[in-house]
Amino acid sequence: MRVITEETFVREYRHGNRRKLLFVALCSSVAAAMFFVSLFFGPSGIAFSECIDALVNHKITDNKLADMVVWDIRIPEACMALITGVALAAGGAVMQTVLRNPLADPYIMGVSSGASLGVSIFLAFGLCIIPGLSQNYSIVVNAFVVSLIPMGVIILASSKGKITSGKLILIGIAVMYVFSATTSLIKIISDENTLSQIYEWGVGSLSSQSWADIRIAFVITVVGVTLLLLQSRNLDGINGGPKIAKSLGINTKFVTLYSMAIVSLTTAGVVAFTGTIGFVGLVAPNIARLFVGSKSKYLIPSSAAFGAMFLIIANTIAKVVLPTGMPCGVIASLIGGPIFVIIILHQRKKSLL
Amino acid sequence: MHIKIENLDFGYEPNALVLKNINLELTGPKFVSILGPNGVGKSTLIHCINKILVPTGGRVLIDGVDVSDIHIKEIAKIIGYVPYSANDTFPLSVIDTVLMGRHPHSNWKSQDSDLKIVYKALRTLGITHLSMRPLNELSAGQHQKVMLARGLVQEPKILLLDEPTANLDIRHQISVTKMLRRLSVDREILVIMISHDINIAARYADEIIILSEGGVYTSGKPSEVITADNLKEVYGVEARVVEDNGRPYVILDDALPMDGEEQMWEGN
Repeated sequence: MRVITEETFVREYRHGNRRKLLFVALCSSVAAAMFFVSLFFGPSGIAFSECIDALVNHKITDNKLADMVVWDIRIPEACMALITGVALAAGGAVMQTVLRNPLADPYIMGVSSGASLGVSIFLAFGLCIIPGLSQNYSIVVNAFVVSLIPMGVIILASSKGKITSGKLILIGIAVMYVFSATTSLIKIISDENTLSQIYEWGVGSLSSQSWADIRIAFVITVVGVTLLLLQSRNLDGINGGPKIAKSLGINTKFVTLYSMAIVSLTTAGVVAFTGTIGFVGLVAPNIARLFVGSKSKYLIPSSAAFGAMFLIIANTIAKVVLPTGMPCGVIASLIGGPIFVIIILHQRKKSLL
Repeated sequence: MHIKIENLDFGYEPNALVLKNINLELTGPKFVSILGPNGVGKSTLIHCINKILVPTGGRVLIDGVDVSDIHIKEIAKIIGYVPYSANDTFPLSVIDTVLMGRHPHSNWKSQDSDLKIVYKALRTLGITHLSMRPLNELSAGQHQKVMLARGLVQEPKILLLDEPTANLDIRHQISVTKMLRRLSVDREILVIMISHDINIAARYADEIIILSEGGVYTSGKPSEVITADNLKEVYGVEARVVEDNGRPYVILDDALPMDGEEQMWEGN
């Protein structure tokens, strides 16, 4: 049996960690490359050379149409793909760790069903939580606020008594059913036009984002993911089980609720603009975990980088396959699902690079 | 190091106390073993010491300070805990698992000094070759040693262990128990170990506490408390206790029917 010297021990550990960062770097590079590739595709039928021209000679080119398409449609859309991928995947990683369940995703506390309900209430009845906003912002505000109700309920409910991951998951699912049922009720009494609007929102789309939207989603995501990353040590403790976490001096209840609240806020901040984009929040952390293991300090950035890469690729494919535009969430699930199954089935080693 | 438990009550339900009026005083450095049948509250008792559970009544004092007044992060610096089992839904590597034990003492980045402490603990337990392996690939015994290593790197003044030798083969049961005893002497700490192996406990512990239904049945030196009568009363077993090198040694003969307990079916 091999006895490792102290020097080798420290070196191998540091080396292993650097390899995990390599995964983050790799995914980020691919995401950055795909960001540029995606700018050449889209429903407006702008030629390759026109795109280059618009990119290089922004604001001074004579081709105003191409300039507008690239800078006000395609770049915001690509940015939104990256932001959404980061927010949902990092959120998924944290939810899975906190709940110690690989099936958890950032929507598990009812964020997506809450957002749908908020949007339906506005589209069907014209009711907004903050009255007097424009149509677009009324939808965003309603989606954001209503999607946070379940998390609020859970925080209130757990102010007294014990919370377990099983309980939290079940409460989240129960809330989701109540919200979906309410949304269905609204749909039943809505007219055709409203119905199609609600449906369209529900599918999730990265397109038609304004620069102002991007800025808000970007700030929310950066702040949210940073706060989560700062919890990574505590999250690892919780991953070991509540007793171990407590014995290491970690306030399990606070860390659990705080992290879940941050994930819900970040997710709500993105979903309010894009609608429900599924799959990436569930799958990205699980794939990242196969490469970098479960230590949150590496899992969160790895999931985020993978999520960004995944969504920008899915979005580009969506634009290539159907130039009239196709919801990126649909492509993400259609292509990502089978790939995920193949990866799971071919997994020989039990994680860790 | 001094633990004083005063009139401690604990119940998971308000009307069903698991521990009733426990009074105990332990002064380190010492190697203490807690014995007792299933379900008498051995684990519950040690969970009350390091604040994993909050007592229903009474209090626990560490060096004269009530634990309910100490922040759990401060408790984690003085009290180490080695659980019976650990969750590994998302297993970390052995090294990262053990490194968690440095959590109460360190910050964001693991310093080389922390890694060196981890190395020393793995070396003590003879498992450096496992360092990069994920926890879920280990055997039950190896897993238990990892849990032990994490307790060690916490560098506590009091170390609580919940059946640390349960999954180990006999050779490792002896070496781990000996190591715990040595630890109590070398680092001058109070080691408290829950055990089901009376002979191992009797051979190495300085003091034995026997819990029975809800309370402390007796405590004292192994030779004082490991007697045939006590074993019969607490465990419901017929046993002979012989002396070996000044320590009691138990030979188990038979299980006795217990009053008011549902009998196990033993065949026709």
